[in-house]
Amino acid sequence: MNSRKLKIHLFTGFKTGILLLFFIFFMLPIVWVALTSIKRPVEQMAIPPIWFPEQPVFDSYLTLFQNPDFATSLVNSLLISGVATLITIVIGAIAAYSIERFRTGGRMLPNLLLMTRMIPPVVVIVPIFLLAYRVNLLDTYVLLIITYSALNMALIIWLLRSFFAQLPVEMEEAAMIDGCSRIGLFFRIVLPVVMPGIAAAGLICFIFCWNEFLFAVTLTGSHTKTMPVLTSTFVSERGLDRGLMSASGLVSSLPVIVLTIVFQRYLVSGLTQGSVK
Amino acid sequence: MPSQPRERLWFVLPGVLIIVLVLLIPILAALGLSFFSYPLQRPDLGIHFIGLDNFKRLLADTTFMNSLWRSVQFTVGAVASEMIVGTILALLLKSHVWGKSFFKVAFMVPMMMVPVVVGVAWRLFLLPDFTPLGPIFQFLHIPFDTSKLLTDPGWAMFSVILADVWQWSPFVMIMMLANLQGIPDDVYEAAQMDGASRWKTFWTMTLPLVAPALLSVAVLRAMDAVRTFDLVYILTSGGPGTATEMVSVYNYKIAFSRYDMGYASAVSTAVMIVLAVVIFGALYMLSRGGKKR
Repeated sequence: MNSRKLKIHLFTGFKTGILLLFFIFFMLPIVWVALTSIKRPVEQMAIPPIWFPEQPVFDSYLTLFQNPDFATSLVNSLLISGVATLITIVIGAIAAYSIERFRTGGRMLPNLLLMTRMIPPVVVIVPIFLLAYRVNLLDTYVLLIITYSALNMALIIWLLRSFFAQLPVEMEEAAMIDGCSRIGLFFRIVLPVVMPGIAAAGLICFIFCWNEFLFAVTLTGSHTKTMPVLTSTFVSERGLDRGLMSASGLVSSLPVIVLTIVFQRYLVSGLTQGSVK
Repeated sequence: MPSQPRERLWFVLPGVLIIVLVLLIPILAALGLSFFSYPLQRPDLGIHFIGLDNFKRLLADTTFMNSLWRSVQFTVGAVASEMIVGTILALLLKSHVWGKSFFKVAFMVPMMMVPVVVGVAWRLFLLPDFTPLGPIFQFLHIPFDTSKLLTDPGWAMFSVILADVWQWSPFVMIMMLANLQGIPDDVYEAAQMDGASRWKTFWTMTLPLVAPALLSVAVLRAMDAVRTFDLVYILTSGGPGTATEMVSVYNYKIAFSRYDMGYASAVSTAVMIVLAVVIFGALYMLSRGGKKR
């Protein structure tokens, strides 16, 4: 190996080393939580702290799974995020196609939509809470589902619009000449082509709904509590049960982490499409 | 074409309607409520019109002013750090390194994690006396009292920013990576042919080319950072004292621990006004910057 090659390899190794340090930084808190969740209470409270439990115990997970709120919250999270995503994608896709193909609403509409993304959630939560309180909608699925759809609608329309924009008009015209109706065209030609885009948008919408906390904690009660809300109750109520806190945190993040790793490609395309252009 | 312009409006109507219903009407409602006294916990007092009293109270409210200032500190600190860390990561991942796709996926995990859990994780990780950083710093002979990280006002803000940087630098990384990959290779080849060093190529070619993207990613991040709630609420819940109580947390506490809905709406209205001024200012500068080029 000549010295030039060695130098290049050394440089590559150096850069990889920096990335490795960042990797440790990004993994450290997650690893700490994972280790805390399998420690015995004595080990959780040890000073100085110990990294690895002598013998892993899964009591925290058992306590979590036996908590009657756990199953409810998990089902609620899945149901609310799932339905909200479905509604947002269906309504959003039709709107995005119309805006992109027919220029519905001119240039104003897309920009107005984008502006709604800038509204801080804390600002709208008081009136939404008061209204829901008056009409007895607190602690219902409908309330949270509609709220989540609205929160993500603008982003999803923008995202899907950029995916529809990549679709050549000629393709649609050819199908129209062959006697395809507008509706048939949308479902048979347009949708299959933009499916990856729809998948990306759906994934992002689902994750955002799953992660949402502010609206969930104010608008839900014991019936419609979601996973982040459940996790937060372990923080405030029994701040000392760090095992339960960790276990709940990990379990509620697990679906999102798995989705991220499996569908990384879609996520990247969705995140970069929507905003860079 | 069979569908007429008027009919096409039906396609966008459901989406627009839901946004108007859940976002725009509540904003107007908040604006209206800010002129009322509305203590939810005392139904006997009812709802009164009190004119500008809430706003007078607001202007004299030092806690509010401080929380606004802390939001600014947090946003500037977090976004600036995220831009630097994210861009460094993107540059590294764009260049020749080992295990590229592994790092890319691993770095995306924090960004997608539930913010509440990020708060929980950092809280557990930094708990005074129990933080594993203590032994690590001791081992490295760094004389730093790790219990300060959540108990000292200045360091608590640092910790909150650190947790936000941990979660959102990957977002900047992904955006910048997409942009860097958009730069055609012949730009670099030409620079190399001219004998420009790597360092010089970065400052004179790469950076100006991605500058507009950097700016728009920073704006995106800033908009999210200003309204950060979950992370702070779980990690420090505004403490110690009010050292990390940003305006979002303050607003929430007035509404849902004091149930002072009128005053909370006034705070919301003030936040909207400040944000609108900042956003339009930023957009104006952006568009002017765009024209110059």
